[in-house]
Amino acid sequence: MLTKRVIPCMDVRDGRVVKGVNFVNLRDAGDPIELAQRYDEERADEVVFLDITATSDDRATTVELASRASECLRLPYTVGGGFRSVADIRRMIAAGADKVSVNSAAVKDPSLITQAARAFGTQAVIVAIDAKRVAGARDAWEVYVSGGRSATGIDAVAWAREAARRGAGEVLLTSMDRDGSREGFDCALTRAVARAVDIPVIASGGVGRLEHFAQGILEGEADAVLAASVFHFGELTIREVKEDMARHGIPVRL
Amino acid sequence: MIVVVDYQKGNIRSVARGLEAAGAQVVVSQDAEVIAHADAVVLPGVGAFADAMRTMEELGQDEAVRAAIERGAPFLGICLGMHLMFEAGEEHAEGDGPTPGLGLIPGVVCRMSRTDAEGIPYKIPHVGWNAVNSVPTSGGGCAHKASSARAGTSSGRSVRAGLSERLSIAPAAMGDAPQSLFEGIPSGEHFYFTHSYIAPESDATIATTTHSVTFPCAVRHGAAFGVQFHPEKSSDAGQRLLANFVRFARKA
Repeated sequence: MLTKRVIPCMDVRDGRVVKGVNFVNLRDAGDPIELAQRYDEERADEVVFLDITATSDDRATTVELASRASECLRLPYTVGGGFRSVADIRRMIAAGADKVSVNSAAVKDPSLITQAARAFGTQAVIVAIDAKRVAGARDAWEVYVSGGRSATGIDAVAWAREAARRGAGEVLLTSMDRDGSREGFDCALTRAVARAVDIPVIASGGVGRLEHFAQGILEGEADAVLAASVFHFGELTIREVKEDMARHGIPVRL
Repeated sequence: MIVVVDYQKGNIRSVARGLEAAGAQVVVSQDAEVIAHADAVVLPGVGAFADAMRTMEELGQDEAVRAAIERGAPFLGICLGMHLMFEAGEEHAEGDGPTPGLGLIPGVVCRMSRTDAEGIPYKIPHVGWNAVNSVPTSGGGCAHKASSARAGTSSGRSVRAGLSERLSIAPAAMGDAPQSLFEGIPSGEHFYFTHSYIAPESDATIATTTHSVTFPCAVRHGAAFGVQFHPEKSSDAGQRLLANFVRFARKA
């Protein structure tokens, strides 16, 4: 049976992990590769490097990171952030990234998904969606772009469906309401999207406690759960999370 | 020396790295001559069946790989590389009928069903870590009706004509090589998968995995192996499998 995945996400700027990492026994806590190797040892199922580099000049550093990752890592990794064109994506895939995640650029030009899926295969293209609950509505969420700064007026569930139709291989779904709240995933949002598409959905945003991961799978019906700070600060280990998921009857790779 | 075939589709470095970590000397090459004379050949996989076959044919790699296998050089096809070992594939096929593959193993690679036998929906692509279960060596065995039936309907009489010739490569002798790519790896171990198409059932199946259907995830034709999952992305278990292949290649 296919196991549910646990995915640590690292924010990377100029090739370095930002937001601080509080791991013991790391020679260089800012090195995304060393951190990813540590997560591999803990049985993480894959890792995501989210590039928050401001300028396109610095993209070369991220390409270099992808290249080094393909030399060093024994688990799949995704690079997300800043892709504007198929040429950008090609550079990252050529450097060795298993998958890329596209967000704002895909909203601006949905044909980017179609083109990338055709060029690199559906399995290589993740569409990242940042969604925020519409005030006053019971079950409606709006897509935001540009790192959550700009509202688009697009319905998140409809956009997920369109992304899947255009050839996305997975949806990485972040609840902006929950991100950083430590209150757990927005399970209503996750479930709405998971039921709307026939591709895997990765839940993101809001994890603060151990049981939130199992909730994302059981109540949110997600195929994978993603978190950042609870892992980086050593509050929870991947192993603890997987053991808790297993206790809830969720298939995991222990 | 193990040659990793580069057919311009990326994901080559991780495979080379895994083989090197197992102590192998590795050359990444597009050159048909180099491939044909390799001690062992690894055909990694990303992209679509039809595109990959077209590129390999343009570069003469298809004949080179077949020549290497024919003289008994150990071979490992990964993901799409495993698919290419079969008679034909439906993925991105143009015109009528599926695209002919290397033709070592009979059957047509087809799309994985989105529902199981009871009509319950499954997410496709099949992405993530799944259990790999060994098949008793008596061969065949796994019920794979859904995809076999589908492969049968859309497949190809059009590819049958040239097949008998392509299938003429007999399995090479095994010598005292290890019985399995999975030596030291317990049945049920998890490996990383990412794909939407599956190989058909055949006598070559040595391991299966279950998602919407149960499908062959490892095959063997003499000294030629194929795996649907990505050993280079499967942490300790994957590294073990690559090391088994390297040891096998050394003995052969």
